[in-house]
Amino acid sequence: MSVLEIRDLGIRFGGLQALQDFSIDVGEWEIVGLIGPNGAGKTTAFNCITGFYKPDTGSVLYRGEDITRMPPHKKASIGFGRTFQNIGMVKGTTALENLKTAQHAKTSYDTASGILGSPASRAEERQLAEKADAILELLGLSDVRDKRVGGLSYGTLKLLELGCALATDPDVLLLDEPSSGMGPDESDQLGERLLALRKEFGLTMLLIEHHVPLVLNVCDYVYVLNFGRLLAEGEPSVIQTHPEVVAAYLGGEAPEALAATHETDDDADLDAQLHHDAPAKQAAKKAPRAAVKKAPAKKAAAKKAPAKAAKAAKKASPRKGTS
Amino acid sequence: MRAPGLALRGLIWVGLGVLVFWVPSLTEPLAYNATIGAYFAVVGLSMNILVGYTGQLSLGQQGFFGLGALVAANVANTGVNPAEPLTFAFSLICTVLIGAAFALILGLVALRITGLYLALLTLVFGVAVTSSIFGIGAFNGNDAGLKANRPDFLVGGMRFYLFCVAILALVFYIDRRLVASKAGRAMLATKENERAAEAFGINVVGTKLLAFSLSGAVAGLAGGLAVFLPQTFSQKDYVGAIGFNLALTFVVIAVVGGLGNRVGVVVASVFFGLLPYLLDSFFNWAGWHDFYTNRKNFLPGLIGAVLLLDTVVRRPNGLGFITTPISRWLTGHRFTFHGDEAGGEVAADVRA
Repeated sequence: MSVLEIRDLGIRFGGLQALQDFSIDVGEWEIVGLIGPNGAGKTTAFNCITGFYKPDTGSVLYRGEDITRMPPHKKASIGFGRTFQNIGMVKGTTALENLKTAQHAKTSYDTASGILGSPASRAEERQLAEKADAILELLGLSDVRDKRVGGLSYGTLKLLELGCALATDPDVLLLDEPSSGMGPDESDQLGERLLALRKEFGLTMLLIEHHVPLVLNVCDYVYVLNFGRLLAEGEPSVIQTHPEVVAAYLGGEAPEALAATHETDDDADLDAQLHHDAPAKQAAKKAPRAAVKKAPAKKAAAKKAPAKAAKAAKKASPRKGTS
Repeated sequence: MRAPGLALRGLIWVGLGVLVFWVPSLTEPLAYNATIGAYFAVVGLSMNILVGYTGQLSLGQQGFFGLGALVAANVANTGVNPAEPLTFAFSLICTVLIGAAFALILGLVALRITGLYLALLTLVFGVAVTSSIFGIGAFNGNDAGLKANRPDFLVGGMRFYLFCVAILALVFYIDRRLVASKAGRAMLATKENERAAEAFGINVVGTKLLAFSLSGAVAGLAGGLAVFLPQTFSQKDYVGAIGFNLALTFVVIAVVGGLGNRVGVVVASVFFGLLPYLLDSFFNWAGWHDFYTNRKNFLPGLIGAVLLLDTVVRRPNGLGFITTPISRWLTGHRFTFHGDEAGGEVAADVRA
C-alpha cells in the first residue's frame, strides 16, 4: 500500500483547468519529485493534497484512507508536514517560537490550563523547547534560535521552514521548492540533508523542485506536470532524457517540435542542465528503488517504531517496470 | 548586575508604586480619573488580544464594553444601597459571559471576512447593538438611567480604584500567560500567516473564535467596572456619536500602544483615559479655562489623531519602541533598543 495515493485529481479556477487527471503514488520511504515548467500546476497539486484547495474531482488516499475533504489543520495533525514556496512562518517572532508553534498539534494541554499555567502545561512547554532546540541543532541553526525570523536570510528561512515542518512530527513531508534561494553548494548540501532526514525520521517525501541536479540526486521517482496534466513519469535518469519533458521545458508542444529545435543553443543549454551530473555518477549513487527503500529501514529501525521499519522492510520491489 | 543599576531600578519601581498606589489617593477626582485609566487599560488589553495578537480589526469593541455596562447595571439594580457583595460579583460574572457570547456571534459572522470589510462589519455591529438594545426601555430604566450601587467594601473611590487595578493585574497576567502558551502562539500564527498556521495543525477558525470571545469577555468586564464608577447607567454614554468616539479611542489605544505589546497598550490606555482630566487640569492651571471649555470636545481627539499618525508613519511598534526596552530593563535585563532579537515582548508592525 502506498503512503499517498492520488487518484484523478482535478480542479478548475474559472476558465482555467489548473489540474486534470492527476494521479500519483508515493510509497513508504520514497522521495518523489514533482517537476514541470512554471504554471504547470505543481503548487496547485500540493494545495489539493494538503487540503488548502478543495479539488473538483478525484481523491487523496493516505494509507488507504480517503482524506480528500479533510481540512488542512487536520491533515497536519495526522502527519502531513509541508513547506511553502514563499515561506510559511510567523515572521514577527523568534525561530524558537516558530518551532514551538509548529508543534501545536502535538501539544496536548488545553487553552485554560495553558493560561492558568498548570504544572503539566509548564512541563510540556519545556519539552517543546527541548525538541525545538534539538531540531535547530540538527539543522545547524542553533545560533539563530532567539533571532527574529523576519530578519533572517532567505536560505536560512528555507532551512528553518523545513525545521518547522519537521517539528510538526510529519509522516509525509511535502516540500515546495526547498532549494529556491540557495546556491549550487547549498542545494547539494540540502540534498544530502534530505536523504539524512529520511533515514533519521523515516520520512516519505513529495518534492517540488526546479533545481535539476537536486532532483536527480535525491528523488527515487519523478512525475512531470505540464499544463495541469501529467506528462511523464519514471526514474530520474529516464526522465531527464524523456523527449516530451525536454520539449515541455523548451516550450515546444509535441515531440516533433523537439526535432525542429534540436540544433539550437537553447536546447544545448537545457541538455547541459539536465545532464549536470554525469550519468555514470548517477548510476553509482542511485540504487534501484527497492534497495533505496531497504537501506533507511535498517538504519532507522532503532529510532522509529519497529512496526514501521518492519512494514518498510517487508515491502517488496514496487514499480520496476512502471514508466 | 552592578549596584548603581540595581539602585536605579529599585528607585524607579518604588516611583511607579507611588504613582499607582499613592498619588490617586490624594484627591477624589484623581482617584476617579485613575479608575477610568484602569478600566480603559482593561479594554486596551481586550483590543490587544483581538487586534494585536490575532489580527482581527474590531471597531465594535464599545459594543461589548457597553453591553457589559448595561448588564452589570441591570443585574445590580436591585434597589439595595450599598449593594450585596454577591449581587456585585454576579453582575461582573454576567458582564464576562455576555461579552463573550456577543463577541462569539460577531466572530462567527466575521469568520471569512478580513481587512476593510471586517472593520466595517464590526463597526456596524457595535452601532447596531448599542442603538437597538440600549434603546429598550426595560433595560435602560425607561431612558432615565439605572442605579448601579457598589457594595460596602468598595464604596470609597480609592478602594474601587484599587479593585479595578487588581482586575487589570489579573487580565494582564492572563494576557501574558496566553502569549506564552499554545493558544497565544496559535493566535500570532493566525494573524501573520493563516496558511502556515494551518500547515502547523492550527485550527484557524477555532483560534479566531477563541480570540473574539476572550476579547469580548474582557471588554464586557471593563464595561462592568465602568458602570460601577459613576454608579449609574445612562444609555447616552454608549450610543450615537459618543459610542462611536469610544470605539475609535479603543482602536487608537491599541495601535498607539503597539499592537501585540501589552505594556505599551496599558500605558496608552491610561494616557487616553486620563487625557480629558489632564487637559482640564492643565488649562485651569494655566488660566486658559475658557479657551479649553470651547475646545473640550475635539482636543483629545486631535491629540489622538496626531499620535496615531506618528505611530503609523514613524513607529510601527507604537509605544513598544520605548516601553519594551524599559520594561525589559526594569526586569533585570540589559537596556537595548533592539528588543526583538532578545525575544520576550512580541512587537508587531501595524502596517503589515
